[in-house]
Amino acid sequence: MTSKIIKILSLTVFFVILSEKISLLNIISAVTIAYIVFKINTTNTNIKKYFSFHLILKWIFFTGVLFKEVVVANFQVAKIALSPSMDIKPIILDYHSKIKDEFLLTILSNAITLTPGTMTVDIHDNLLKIHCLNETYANSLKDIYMEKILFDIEGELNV
Amino acid sequence: MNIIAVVLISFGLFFFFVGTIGVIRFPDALTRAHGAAKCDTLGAVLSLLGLIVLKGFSPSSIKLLMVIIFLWIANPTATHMIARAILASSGRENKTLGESKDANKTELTIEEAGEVK
Repeated sequence: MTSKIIKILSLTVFFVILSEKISLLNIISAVTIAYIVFKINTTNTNIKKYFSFHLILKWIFFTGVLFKEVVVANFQVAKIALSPSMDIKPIILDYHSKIKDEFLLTILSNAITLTPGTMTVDIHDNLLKIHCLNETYANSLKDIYMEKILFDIEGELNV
Repeated sequence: MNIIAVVLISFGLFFFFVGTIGVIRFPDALTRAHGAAKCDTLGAVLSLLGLIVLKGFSPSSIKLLMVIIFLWIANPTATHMIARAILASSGRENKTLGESKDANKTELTIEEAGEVK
C-alpha cells in the first residue's frame, strides 16, 4: 500500500516539475494523470532493489567511469573519421559475461555500446554478440572495468 | 558563465559534426552505426549542459537534466536495435552460438564480418 502511494506521489511531483506551476487545478490533474499512468503500468520488474542505499556509491562510481569512457570513445571516433586512411577491419565476436541478472546485463550492453570501438549487436541470456571496429578494441574487451563494478553490484544484491 | 556555455555548446557541435562525417565516410552500415551512436550521445549532452549553464538553476534546467538522462538510456538501445536489424537483414547466417567450456572464463571467438550489402 505504501509503495503504491509513493509511486503515485513521485509521478505527481514529476508532472508538477514539468508543468512549472502550482495551482489547485494543476495538482488535481497531476494526481489524476499519475493514477492513470500507475494503473496502465503493469510491468513487474522491481527496480528498487538495484538502487538500494548501500549500492549508491558504486552507482556513482559507475557513472563516472562510463562518462570517461564515452569521452574517450568520441575522440576515437573523431580520430578514425577524420584520418585520411581508415584502418578498420570490422569483426563480430561472442562475449560470455559473468553477469546473470537481466537488468544489469541490459546496462552492461548499453555501456559496451558507448565504449570505444565496440557495439552490442545481439544478446542471448549472458552471451553478447559484439561488433568491433578492429582487433585492438576486441582485445580491450577482455578486461572491461565496468563489468567488474556491475559484478560487484550483483554480488551485493541479496546481502 | 557565458564563456563556459559557449565552449560546451561548441564542443557539442564539433562532436555532432564528427559523427556526421563518420556516417558519411564509414564503409558499411554496421560501422556507420558506431559513429552515429557515440557522437550523438556526447554531442547532445554537451549542448544541453551548455544550455543549462546559460539558463542558471531553474525548472527548465531540471527538465533538461531529465532529457539528458532519457537520452543516455535511449540512444544506445536504439542503436542496438538498428544494428540487430542490419545483422538480421544482411543475409549472413546467424551461426549457432557455441557454449563456453568454462562458465567463469570469458573467451573470445572471432569470426570475419563480411561486407554488409
